[in-house]
Amino acid sequence: MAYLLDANVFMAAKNLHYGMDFCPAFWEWLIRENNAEKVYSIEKVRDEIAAGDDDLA
Amino acid sequence: MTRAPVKPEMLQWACERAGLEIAALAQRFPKLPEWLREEARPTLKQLENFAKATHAPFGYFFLPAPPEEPIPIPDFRTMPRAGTRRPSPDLLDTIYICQQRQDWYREYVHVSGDQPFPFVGSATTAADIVEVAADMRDALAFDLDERRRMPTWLDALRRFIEQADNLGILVMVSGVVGNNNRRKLDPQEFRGFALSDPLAPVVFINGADTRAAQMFTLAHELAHLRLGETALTDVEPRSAPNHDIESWCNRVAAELLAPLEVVIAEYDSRAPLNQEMTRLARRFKVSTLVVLRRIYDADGLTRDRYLQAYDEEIARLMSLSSSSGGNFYLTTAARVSKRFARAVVTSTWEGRSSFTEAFHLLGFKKMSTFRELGQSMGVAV
Repeated sequence: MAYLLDANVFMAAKNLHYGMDFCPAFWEWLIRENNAEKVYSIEKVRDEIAAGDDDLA
Repeated sequence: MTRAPVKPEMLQWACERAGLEIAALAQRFPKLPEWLREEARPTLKQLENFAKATHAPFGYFFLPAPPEEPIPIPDFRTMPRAGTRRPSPDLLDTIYICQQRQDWYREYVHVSGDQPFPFVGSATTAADIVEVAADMRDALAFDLDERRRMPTWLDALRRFIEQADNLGILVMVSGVVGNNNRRKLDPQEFRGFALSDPLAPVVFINGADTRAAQMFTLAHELAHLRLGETALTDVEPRSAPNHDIESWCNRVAAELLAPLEVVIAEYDSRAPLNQEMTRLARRFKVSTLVVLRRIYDADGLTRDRYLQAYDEEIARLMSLSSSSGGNFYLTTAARVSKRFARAVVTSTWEGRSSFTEAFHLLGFKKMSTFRELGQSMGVAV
């Protein structure tokens, strides 16, 4: 089973509990699972995150 | 490339709805004539841009026929053409977003366990106008003595909005759709609306209107809330609506701002009108338009003289440009109401609301804007 992630998953993770410097393991896990074709997102989500114009973008 | 099967009538509908000429849109979308003749189809990207340009929801283009889009709230407008004209996308989108904010806020208040407050729906049109106006003035702590201490009527307007906000009413003042400065609202189409609700009452004021008119609009919409009536309105101080509810609300609004008894006692009919108008505006800290209406109500003016003076005053007010650049964060908070902005920011940092929803409701996309908005309101993170 594969999962599609919504923009808020990334935003809430970065801004609340899994800050990129505080919890890098979460972000490494995302990349690993994406490579393993388990976790995906879509272009619209990328656009929404890019518009946020912060470290996440 | 994926091409979208769009019926020509849907493209036509979007143009008309937005009040845009096909020729004008064809400059941005050179293929538009071909799409309309069904000789070519737009790509998804092109259709997306076309939807954006016409402010039409993207999904609507795939409908078999143009949808009916009635104004989703009771329409109390009195301008002659108001009822027959198709509501503009700007008006519809403004009502939709305010309803979404109201839904969100109702839920928020509900979870916090707040009780409905007695301001909303506590009067009927059978009630005495002077009494209702006095009660409202008390509830809002907006009495004459308090106003007398303020430097100008613009301070009083700010105070008036603040007091309603403190009471639990979301007062949103905006001259544009969301935060999109290219989509100006037309005061000829509507001046404001009230969305009644015991927990989350909303007043929207068309900020593209003169400040002088905004004060009256706020008083008028508050009267609607007092009745517990949701309404879309276009009245101003000079309106004499035939409709019972509109007429009642207008009289309450005028009485709330400038009690007739005091006006009669203070008005000096021998002094020049202009001078009296300015003096009384300063006395009551209301706009000159409201004062004119009250002098007329006090039988201080003939109808012709009144309407003439009113037109002259409007022309004068319009010539004073009200281009307020101002602080972006203050403006944003005023557009969605301070109370609402504070609630959304707090709830998002607490992890109770999503960032994506917060951005949508507040009308921007940047994370730094969100942070700074919170800081400007003392919600520090």
